[in-house]
Amino acid sequence: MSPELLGFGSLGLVLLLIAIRMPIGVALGVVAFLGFWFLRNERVAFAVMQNTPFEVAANWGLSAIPMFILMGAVAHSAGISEALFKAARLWLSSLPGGLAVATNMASAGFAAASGSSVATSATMGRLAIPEMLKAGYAPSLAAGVVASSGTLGALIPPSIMFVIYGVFAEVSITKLLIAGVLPGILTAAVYSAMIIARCKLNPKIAPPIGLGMDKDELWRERWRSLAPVWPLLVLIIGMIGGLYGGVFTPTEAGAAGAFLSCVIAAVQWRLTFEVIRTSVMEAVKTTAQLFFVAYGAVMYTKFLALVGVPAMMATMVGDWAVDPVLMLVAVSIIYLILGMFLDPLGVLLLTLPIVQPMFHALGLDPIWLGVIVVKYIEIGLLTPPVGFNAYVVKNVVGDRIPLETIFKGIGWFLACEAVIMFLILAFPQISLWLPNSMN
Amino acid sequence: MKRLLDAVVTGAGWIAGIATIIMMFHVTIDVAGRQLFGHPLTGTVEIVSAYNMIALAFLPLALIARERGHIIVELFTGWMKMRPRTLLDAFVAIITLVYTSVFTWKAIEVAIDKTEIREAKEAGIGFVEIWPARWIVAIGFGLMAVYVLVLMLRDFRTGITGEIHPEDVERHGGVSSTHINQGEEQL
Repeated sequence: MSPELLGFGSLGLVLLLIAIRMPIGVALGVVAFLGFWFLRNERVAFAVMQNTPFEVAANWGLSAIPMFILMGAVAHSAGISEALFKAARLWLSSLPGGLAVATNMASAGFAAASGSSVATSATMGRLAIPEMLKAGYAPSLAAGVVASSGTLGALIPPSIMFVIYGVFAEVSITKLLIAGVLPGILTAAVYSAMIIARCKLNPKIAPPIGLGMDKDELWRERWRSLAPVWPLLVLIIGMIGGLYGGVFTPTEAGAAGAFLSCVIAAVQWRLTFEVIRTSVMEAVKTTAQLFFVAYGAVMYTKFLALVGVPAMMATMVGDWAVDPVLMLVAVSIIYLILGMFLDPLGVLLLTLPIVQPMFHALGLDPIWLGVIVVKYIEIGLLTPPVGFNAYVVKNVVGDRIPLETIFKGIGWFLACEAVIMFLILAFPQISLWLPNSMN
Repeated sequence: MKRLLDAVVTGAGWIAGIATIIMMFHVTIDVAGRQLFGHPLTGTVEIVSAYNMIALAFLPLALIARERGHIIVELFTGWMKMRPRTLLDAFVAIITLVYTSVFTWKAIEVAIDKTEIREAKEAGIGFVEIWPARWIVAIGFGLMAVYVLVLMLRDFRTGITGEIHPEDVERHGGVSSTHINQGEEQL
């Protein structure tokens, strides 16, 4: 059997098994096992199953994941999301579409404590959507901004996606996390500009809100609103600064971040046993669940390597000597299509062994590829039919906003994403300037 | 029997949680020691990777299975009625059961081997024995396999008779299209 046939045939089998509700990790692992048996023999196949799980889990790089999740969960339980939204609302609500801009900015802030975009959307959705609807905002705008700004969670450090990409692509996780900073800020800025412009042109979708206080009182309230926010912001800036300066590794940053979040929560008298229990269990369960998928994915990746798929992709690029622009367009199309149907981890781990050698063959920076891949995976969370963030918002709002309206609202932000992706692809420096300036 | 199993599964989850908290302290103290006093804790990387990570990656697997939290895609089967869908789940669970059983079996083999040679990793000037961690892998996969079996039998019964087990009422009553797996919340 030719490598092409084996490669694509096995991928087809994986997708088929996933479609009949097999856990993704099992589907990947079973196909890999059969593949090894077919290409070599049963001894090799069993040996791969024997070695892979321990290899994957006993990994210092991946140990950043439970720490990041723990940090986000504790920060959330300590009320940082409410505090951020309250502060953003007081500072930004005089702008056109002020509540939506405030939601966007509060998401960016929460993203800096949380490593996940879906968690960010779920958290901000519960807080901001009822408030926006009460103020008479168009439901599509209210839902759209929450679903879309949630994707900042995976871009602004900490980020679980960057940790996974870094471990499996064998590039520096620290550099990846730092590389996400500017694209994250860019995304938040373009979103805000779009909201302001849209609400200025069509004030009906976002009626101005009065905060019911005079100017002096407003300024007093504004400064007061920062009090519960600043400890965590200092912690986060310290964490990013420490990573940038090479003072500590991502795992260390995560562990110290989680510990200091606990201290902040304790000082504010919010660190109950229940908070600790739910936060820790969230970290534990999510990590184990991601790893279970990773065992299968790693085995499948090893199988693809044995078949020679990565080398095949690299020669394909070499033979055609395509120019990078064409390849970037091709990569974009692949990710947009896969992102519509597959879960983020599946997309990331399945595409890496194929896309990475192509990038390598053209001499392009793997850190830049990391930003592009994570960005596309986040866009995949917004596109129908399987846009996880849209479903998260749907879960929060229940019957109040139909799914179509949510996707309609997201449409405006996807238009922004087209601009942002163009900038990220056209100017690699947006992603690479910060990590390259590290020593 | 079922209650004992549930207690063990919950207990394993708790141990994983405690391993996470210890890991947080251990790594924090290591960083603080290194940055403030120029004196790190020797063997942090080795101990955390071999013990804490292994505990928190493998011990909760059965707990996740119990909550039906392993990541699946429901998009293509949303149109199916409850009974045929549950039956499909039961058949798919046969493969999951074989998969986790092979993992368990292989993990036990490795654990026996590594115990005999007293597997250790070099850390600083000394060695850290890591063979007990190999048993954690076997326990985690083993518990998961048992729970997959329990749920498979339950799904076969539901699929054939149409009777829904009390623990599954919420799952079958929920709207599948808006159902988000817990783990997805973290990506």
